[in-house]
Amino acid sequence: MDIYTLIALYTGLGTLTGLVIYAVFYLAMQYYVERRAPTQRDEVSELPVMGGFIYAELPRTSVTRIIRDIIKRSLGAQRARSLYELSRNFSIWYIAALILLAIVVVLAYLFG
Amino acid sequence: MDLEALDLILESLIYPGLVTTIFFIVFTQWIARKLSARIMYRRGPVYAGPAGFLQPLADLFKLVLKRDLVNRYSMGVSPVVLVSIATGFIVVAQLFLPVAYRPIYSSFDVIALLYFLLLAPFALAYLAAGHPNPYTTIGVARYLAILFVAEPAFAISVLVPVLIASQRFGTEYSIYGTSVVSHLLWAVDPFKTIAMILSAIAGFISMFAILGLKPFDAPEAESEIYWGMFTEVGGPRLALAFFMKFAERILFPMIYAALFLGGVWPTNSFNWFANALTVYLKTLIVFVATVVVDSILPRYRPDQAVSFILKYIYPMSIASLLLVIVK
Repeated sequence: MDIYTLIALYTGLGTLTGLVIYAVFYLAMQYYVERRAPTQRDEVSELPVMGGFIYAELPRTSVTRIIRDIIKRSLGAQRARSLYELSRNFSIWYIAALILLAIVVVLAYLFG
Repeated sequence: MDLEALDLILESLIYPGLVTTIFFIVFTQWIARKLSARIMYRRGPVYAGPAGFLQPLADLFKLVLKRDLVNRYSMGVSPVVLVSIATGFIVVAQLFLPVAYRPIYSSFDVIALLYFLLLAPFALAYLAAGHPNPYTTIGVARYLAILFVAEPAFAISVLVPVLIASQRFGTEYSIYGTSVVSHLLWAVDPFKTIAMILSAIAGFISMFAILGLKPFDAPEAESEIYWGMFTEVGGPRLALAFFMKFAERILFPMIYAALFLGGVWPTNSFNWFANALTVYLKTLIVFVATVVVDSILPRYRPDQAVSFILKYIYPMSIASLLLVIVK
């Protein structure tokens, strides 16, 4: 089998198995639970609880900021700064290369 | 419907797919709980089934039979669908390995498999981030930081035996083809043997980081950030998240056993049943090793975990790759 057929096959089988898991372990079970026990709601339902206290608003933190902090602590400030600089330049060139590739693909399609 | 297509669907849903994976998860999780309990001078599960064997299944049903409750800031059904589909991809990945009676393979399939397996950790991060809470955010950030450094190291380690097998035995970068000849890869020549040793060590340690096992379990850190990624996840969502994690804890040791522990050796590669038994047994050995290490090691801080992988695992995996490519 060639790699394209294999990828199509794997995508199809993986998605099918995933949907079976979703249907059996989520949809069917929730349908069963809904039938057996009625929903109970009050004024604090759906509010998050932290440390035993109910919060109406959640304090927000940034995932990216924490990742940057972890990388900075593991590499040291100087190396981390160089890495960010390198990554920024690389991402600019990467986007430029992607746009160039898209243009080449479009031109190749148009001119056969 | 075409018989071949029906056969593939049966493989995905029954053997070695979904049903077999559920049984194998129950078995391996029972072993994990009993073993870690013995190491910690506890008894482990004893009530559900003989010697508590059915406790993991009881826990699964306890969670999936709860009402799906989320807070008002959480995402609706999309994380559940994504985690289910990612679990499907993990389950079906076993068709690439010699446990399947009709394995699927092609040239360069290892690249496709490595790409598809990335769906699982990102689905888990999406599920956790979709239920906002400061502890969840910290857990997701830690998980992604560790994953960011561990995934490439693991991928390089997996590529080493695949490259050697393709160079010497013409397996065309297929993971199934490599697993059939993987016992021969250790003795091709001294450079390749060193490369295999380095990649086996790097692959084993980076596997712990990907699976979130100690010493790399900072994303969960129960006593510090209240279970981190799973703080806001409960009921059926937690069940599906753990189903995926436990399926990963089978698949990654299975890939490791297929590539580094001799694959189907010493059985005959034309007898699929003997091959499957051999690979399952080797998977169990790797799984038990992960449980023992997970039970006895303390936890790294997230920056220590990232630093450890960058300092020790990257040089090992890159050196092994260079040894294979250059020599």
